Amino acid sequence: MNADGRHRMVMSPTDAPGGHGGHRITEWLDRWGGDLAAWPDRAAAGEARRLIDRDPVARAHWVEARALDGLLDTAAVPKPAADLADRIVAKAAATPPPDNVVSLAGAGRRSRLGWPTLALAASLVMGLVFGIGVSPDTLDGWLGGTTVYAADYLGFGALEVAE
Amino acid sequence: MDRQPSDDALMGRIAKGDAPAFRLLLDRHLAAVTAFCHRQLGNRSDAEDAAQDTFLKVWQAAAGWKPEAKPTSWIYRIAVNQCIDRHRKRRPQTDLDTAADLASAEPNPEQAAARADLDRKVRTAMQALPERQRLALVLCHYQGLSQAEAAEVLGTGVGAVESLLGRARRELKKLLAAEIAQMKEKVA
Repeated sequence: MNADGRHRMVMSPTDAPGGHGGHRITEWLDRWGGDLAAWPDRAAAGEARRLIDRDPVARAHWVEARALDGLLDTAAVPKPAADLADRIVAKAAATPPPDNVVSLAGAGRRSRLGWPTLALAASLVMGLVFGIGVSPDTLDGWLGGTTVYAADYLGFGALEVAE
Repeated sequence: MDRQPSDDALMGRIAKGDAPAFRLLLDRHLAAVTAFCHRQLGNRSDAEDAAQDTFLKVWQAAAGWKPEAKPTSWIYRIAVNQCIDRHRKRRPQTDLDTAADLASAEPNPEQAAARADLDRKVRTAMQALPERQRLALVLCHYQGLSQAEAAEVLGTGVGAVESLLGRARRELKKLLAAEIAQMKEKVA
């Protein structure tokens, strides 16, 4: 394994000129292209160079790889529109960066979620206060004897759930 | 000597909402990212939209960038996701006008037509590749990323990237056999 963590392919006797070197170099050329100087594995590039110099089959594969690279390079793409950067900056300006997004979203959440949360908390407190500290008789007194217990309302009048 | 801030430094400033730093990063990488998106999506309009959304994401998510990641790898990763999303929403079409526009720079009309034709064939062949193969090839061949950097962008290993590159080149050799035969004469 080389410094890049790759398993380097070592030439076998069959890679000798006139042997099966073409197969080995084809694999390398497919992975890394025809520009040997750009190969990440320098040792493999050196071996490939030696193969290309002495083996016509290896050389043919290298020429084919260089031709493919050349073809790929002919397919140019146009530069982006001149005002694209300006458009992106304008859109970004209308979009707050993350810190602001978080704070704004937080503020939004407080305003949206605050009321229901507070109402729920208040109703719990009220329920506890009335449930523990105020007897049904007292409540009847406050409300002029018109208290309707939940159990009665739901048709469970016989159940003494409002004690 | 006027030293330009590194991409890492710019990212740190962008995370704090520094708009001039964002502009600088944009000027530095917009052309390359748009070219990458163009090669992925096959047409200029989609490419510019994808590049725009990529950089807006950079602006919004800069605070989430970790200094261990190279900024360009991180930006390309966002661009890859933008392209994949667009690719899946609709099958991108190769922008045939682009080939003609680029070829029109040729002084000789015959050469211009031949150039446009070749350009079209290469870009059609690129679009015929499976998505991951095309991504690996564009990142390494056109964007100049190393296999290790491409692996970081694609969230995979170097071996997998090399395998994708190998399959992509083998497929292109089949798809462009006639053009390669012609090009061999120039190379040899």
